[in-house]
Amino acid sequence: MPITTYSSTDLFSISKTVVQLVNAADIGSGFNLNISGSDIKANPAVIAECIAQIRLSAGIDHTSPTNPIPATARIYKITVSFQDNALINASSSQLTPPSSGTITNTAAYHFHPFAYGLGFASNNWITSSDPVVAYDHGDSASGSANASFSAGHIVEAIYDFTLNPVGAFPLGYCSYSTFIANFSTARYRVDYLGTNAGVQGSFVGGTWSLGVSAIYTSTNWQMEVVWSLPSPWIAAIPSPTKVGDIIEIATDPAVNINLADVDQISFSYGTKVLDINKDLTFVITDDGAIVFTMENSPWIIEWELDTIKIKVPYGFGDYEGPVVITARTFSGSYIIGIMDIVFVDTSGIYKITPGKLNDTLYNRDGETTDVAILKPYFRTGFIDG
Amino acid sequence: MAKSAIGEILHFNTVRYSMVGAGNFHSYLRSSDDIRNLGLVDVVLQSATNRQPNVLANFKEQCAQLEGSITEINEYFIISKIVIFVKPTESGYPQ
Repeated sequence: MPITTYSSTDLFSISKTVVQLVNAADIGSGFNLNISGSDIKANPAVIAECIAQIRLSAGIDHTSPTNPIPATARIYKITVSFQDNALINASSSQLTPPSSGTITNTAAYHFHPFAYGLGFASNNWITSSDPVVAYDHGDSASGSANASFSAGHIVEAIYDFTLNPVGAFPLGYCSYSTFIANFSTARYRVDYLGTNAGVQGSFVGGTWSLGVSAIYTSTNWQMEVVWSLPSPWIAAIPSPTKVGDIIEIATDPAVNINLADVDQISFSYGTKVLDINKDLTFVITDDGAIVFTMENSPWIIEWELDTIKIKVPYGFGDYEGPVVITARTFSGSYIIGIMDIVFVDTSGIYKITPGKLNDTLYNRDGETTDVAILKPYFRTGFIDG
Repeated sequence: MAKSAIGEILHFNTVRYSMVGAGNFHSYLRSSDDIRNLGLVDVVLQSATNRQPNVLANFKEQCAQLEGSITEINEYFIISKIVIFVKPTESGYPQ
């Protein structure tokens, strides 16, 4: 079955370098988390977190693709990748000192992006690159500490439908319309975490402020979609093909065409066409009954409801190259594949025939092909003085 | 023609055919053991002709043989006479 791969340049217009933020306020200003000394004692690794959810579709326009995927296409695999970059700030400040003991005032952050699907019925087929964790800190026994850090990495989310090739989405392939409908709501989440670590038990009281903020951008969006059109024909064709080889044609279970409706398989190249017909013939028995039987074609091995198995007939002569295989039904003809035929498997007995100006090759099935005699020549004896 | 022991150096300068056929007739002059070879101009074969074409050559060897051939399907030739014009030029190679 032909598989087509389109890159993002075929499908989407990607013009924005900053994707839309679901909650821009979270990213734009970050937020502060006020904590008390008793909180630190109870939970020394207090986390200030800012989270942004980014719509994957926000930065791309898939409404006017230059090379659209047909609505009936089956999508086998989608790969989305982009570069994300963040400028992160984390701060920690002592609002009131502890009544006793000391604390290490640490500003730190964890850069922890991951991809997930929102709107898809199942997420277990989504994989992403490992989360990136960046860490830096400053510390101070009192007062405040600040850390600032730029980080980024390549994010890749793979939507792989090939694990379940049979059945409807989400168990099997995804249609393009389903993909678009879900893709528009799919989101990418980034977390920025600020932490503050106290020394538990060594201080009492005190109030701390911990904050984290980030400016987030993404660039270099790439998208690749692997898809195919559902076809009623699944043809197993040897490559290369020679006369007498077996070609097996089956139906796609998702389409379920009755192959008994096919009454002719044709092989054509240029203007030449070779046909294998499933002609019915009949005989009249001794008691007058009419019995229909299938023509005993030497090229038909099997012609059933779900499988056609035929041999490649002779008649191609010494032609080598592509041959189109076509099936004819009552509703029209369909190309079911292309075979690349080679000129082999011929043999014969060399027989000298007066007046014959060429060699004749005899195919094992009786076909003959005239070819040139291999360079007939003579040489004289040596001429000298 | 049996090889002579004289061994003079000869100049093979023309080949003349009396032949009919169809296709293109290719010919070569070849030295002993095919060390030196000279392809001659092809002759277009005709099923009937009143002319015996001369094919010029420029081939100096102590001895030579003429090869004629056709290469395409359904070509043929019928040769009734071959005349090769030869002139001795030297008695031998330098010792």
